[in-house]
Amino acid sequence: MDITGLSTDNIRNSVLLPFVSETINTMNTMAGIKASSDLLTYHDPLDVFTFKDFAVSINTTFTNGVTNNIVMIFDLNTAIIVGNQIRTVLLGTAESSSVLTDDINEALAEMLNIIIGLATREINETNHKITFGAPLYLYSKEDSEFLLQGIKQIMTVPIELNKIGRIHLSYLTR
Amino acid sequence: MLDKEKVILLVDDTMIMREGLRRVLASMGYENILQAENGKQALKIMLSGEHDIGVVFMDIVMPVMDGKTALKTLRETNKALPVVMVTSKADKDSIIECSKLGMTSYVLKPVSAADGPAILSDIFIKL
Repeated sequence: MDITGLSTDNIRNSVLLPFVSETINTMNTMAGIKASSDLLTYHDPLDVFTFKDFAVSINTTFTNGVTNNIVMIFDLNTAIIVGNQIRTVLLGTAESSSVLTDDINEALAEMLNIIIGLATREINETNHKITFGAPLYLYSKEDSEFLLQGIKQIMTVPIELNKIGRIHLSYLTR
Repeated sequence: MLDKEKVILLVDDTMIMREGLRRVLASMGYENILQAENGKQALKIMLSGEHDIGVVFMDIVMPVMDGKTALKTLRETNKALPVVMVTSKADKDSIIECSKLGMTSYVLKPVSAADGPAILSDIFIKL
């Protein structure tokens, strides 16, 4: 099945939902953070894309060659807290950093790799013909601007991290 | 149970995963740890004969040489060395493939500091 022609509802259900649900699951297993999203209940995605301080983008390419992007966006404070929490869970360390160090970046990257692996498997199991590229990490608004070239539709879903903040998952359609 | 004098080889391209496992193993009394960042480095260590390796923990997805290729190459000459693949539950197909290639067992990422000792003890009992 090719989903290039699917409606917003179908993209939401076929692509965004797996990413949101695996983000929620992985936040819990890798960082001990409880997360939730209204997307899982009733709210429609937002039609805005706002780069904060740190993001990871994955190309999603359809059988007709059209490439869209899934982007997970963090503000600096949330990225640092999540990265520190991952290090606490994996390393059992109480040390925490107040800046985005290489160690924090690596912790976030490893978690995002796991989320991407789980979500893409779920999506591919539904027979949608999408291939996913390697994650691209973005550290500035300028780095992220190329993502908006040729974009026809933006669907953004907030994910609430309990007592920490909020991250956003954007799906950019060309 | 795995002899605490044996060397344990950790193979993963990310430092946090190697360091996490190293700390879990250290908490269990296993201090003789070697580390490699990819399958190629791991093969060099495993095939050198310089170390009394008791078990290898190897990631599947790695740059330069992945875990499957390293396992397959190792098994051409060494069928006895226990190799535990470390992977995410997303990679079920690779686990089946590695099973056919001769892996000893597998653990799912993430191996947390809290749960790691129990998970690894279960594996070590069977070695």
